[in-house]
Amino acid sequence: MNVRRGFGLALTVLATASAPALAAKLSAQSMELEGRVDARILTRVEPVFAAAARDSLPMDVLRAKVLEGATKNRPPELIARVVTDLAEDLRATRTALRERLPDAAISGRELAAASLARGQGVPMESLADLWSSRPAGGSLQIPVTVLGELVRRGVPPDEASAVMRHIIDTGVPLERAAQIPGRLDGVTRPDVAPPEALERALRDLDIPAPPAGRGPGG
Amino acid sequence: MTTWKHGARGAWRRRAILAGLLGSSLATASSIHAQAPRWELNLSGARIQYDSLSALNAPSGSGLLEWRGSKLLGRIGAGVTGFQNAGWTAHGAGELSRWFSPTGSTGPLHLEISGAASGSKHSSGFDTYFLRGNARAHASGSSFGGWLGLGLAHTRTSVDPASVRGVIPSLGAWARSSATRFTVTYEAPEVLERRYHEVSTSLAYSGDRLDLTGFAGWRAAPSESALGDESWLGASAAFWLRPEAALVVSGGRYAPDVIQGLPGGDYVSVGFRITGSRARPVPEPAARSPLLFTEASATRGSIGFELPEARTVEVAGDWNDWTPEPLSRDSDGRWVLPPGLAPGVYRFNLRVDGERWIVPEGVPSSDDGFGGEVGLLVITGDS
Repeated sequence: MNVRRGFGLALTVLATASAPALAAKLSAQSMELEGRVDARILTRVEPVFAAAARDSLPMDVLRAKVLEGATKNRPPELIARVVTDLAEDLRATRTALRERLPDAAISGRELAAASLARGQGVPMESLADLWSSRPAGGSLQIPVTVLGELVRRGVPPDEASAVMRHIIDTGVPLERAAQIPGRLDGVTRPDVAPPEALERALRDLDIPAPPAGRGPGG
Repeated sequence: MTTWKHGARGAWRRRAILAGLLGSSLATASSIHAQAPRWELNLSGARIQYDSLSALNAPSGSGLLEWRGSKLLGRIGAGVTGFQNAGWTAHGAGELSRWFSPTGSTGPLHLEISGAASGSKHSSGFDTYFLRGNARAHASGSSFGGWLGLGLAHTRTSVDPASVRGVIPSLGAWARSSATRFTVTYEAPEVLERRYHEVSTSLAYSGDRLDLTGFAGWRAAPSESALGDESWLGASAAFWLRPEAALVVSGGRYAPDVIQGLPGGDYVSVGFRITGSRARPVPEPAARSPLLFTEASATRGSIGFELPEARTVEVAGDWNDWTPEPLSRDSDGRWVLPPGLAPGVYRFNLRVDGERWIVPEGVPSSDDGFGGEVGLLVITGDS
């Protein structure tokens, strides 16, 4: 058996083995949803779930979106559209991260936070910069959420990501880091530029500022 | 000795009025939107030129205590003013306002009932008092609003036992950006069977270390009134040297008050203010940072929301599969989340009175994709 045949056989075995697992996963998702949403919603979201499962997207995030829409009594077609858009956002965010950091570990919750941050104006470069500081075994869910909140408040993305990366590198507790947006709200005024407000917020929280000139990847 | 041109009654009345104005003028602009409880002390020196009097110097000291709840505002103030060669006056004032929300606390309609009382006593024995009650209906959004109201006023002095009453219909509107607020008010006081028409405006700005307030107004008097048409204009600036201390400079012209019969006058004042909590003339927008709690607070079940007018509140979010859960109130009246949330970032909404889904005040929101908004809750692990 040559190498090529061996590789092909391995793929076939993997596909055969993973198909039941994928089917079981989808079935479980459907069963969980069945009791909560009507058949019209299920019919519309099942293809989205199938594609998402094949791509190993975080199913719990998509499922929560369906349940949110059902709880809010939104029309099935709208729920399907929103879930489809969310799946595409998650897929695109992960692809973009993988292009920059092929070996990056990305949990489902981190991916959901990164997708939300992109919607808040955080560029992929800033997310990749933060991911390059990801501690082994740690989660970037909260740092990425804080990064998105900072950018949403007008802090330039490169400065915001430099601060968050420095926080991760220096081991500042997340409990303190997560207070930065709120403290920023307290010092932001029309006559105080967001970077200056960020500097004050960090000082108030006794969080060390990153070294001057440190930008993405710096 | 200052020359008073209109006899003893007018002189003492003016001094009492002047004391009230001096004592309250510095506090007025800054005390409107305070977060309570708070206190404030003001020391100032003023140069006043009333329309019918010689200019005089008047040092003044006053204090203010204020408590602001979500539906109740209480405020009391008192002070003493000395007059150049003309004795001194002690003055005090109190105000209480109660808010009602017939459409629920998250709705745009609110009713306000308020009452105010003030009085003064001059070192010669002359005294005055003034009472006013107001009922107002407010329609408010986040950046603009308006109101319609009716006020009743009553005033008397020790010199003239006959009291004066006034009926004051009013309407007004306001608009604000992040740090600037503009207000316009129309009032039509009817006093002694004479109707006046008054339009006043104010523009306020609150910066990092500077608060500015400007005001202007115009009043049309009926032809049979002894008061002619009047206009007025003024400004006040507070330079915050520290978070709790400010230098306050103000100047301009007061208009005569048709109900109390207060005279108009020009003034310049320089003062110093210290306070336990700075009150801005433009309220700061509610911070909409992530709703942040620690794992311990989540475990204890101490995550709560203030929705005082709500009859029922339910929560649905990522952690409970968006299954609406009824919340209960704690001893402080807050609606409290069930305990046991694990660290993480969650999206959630509250449903008030079984009607619509909201994001509580102060919580950041994002588009939920369904035509509404969804809030963000962050729970960190305890470090």
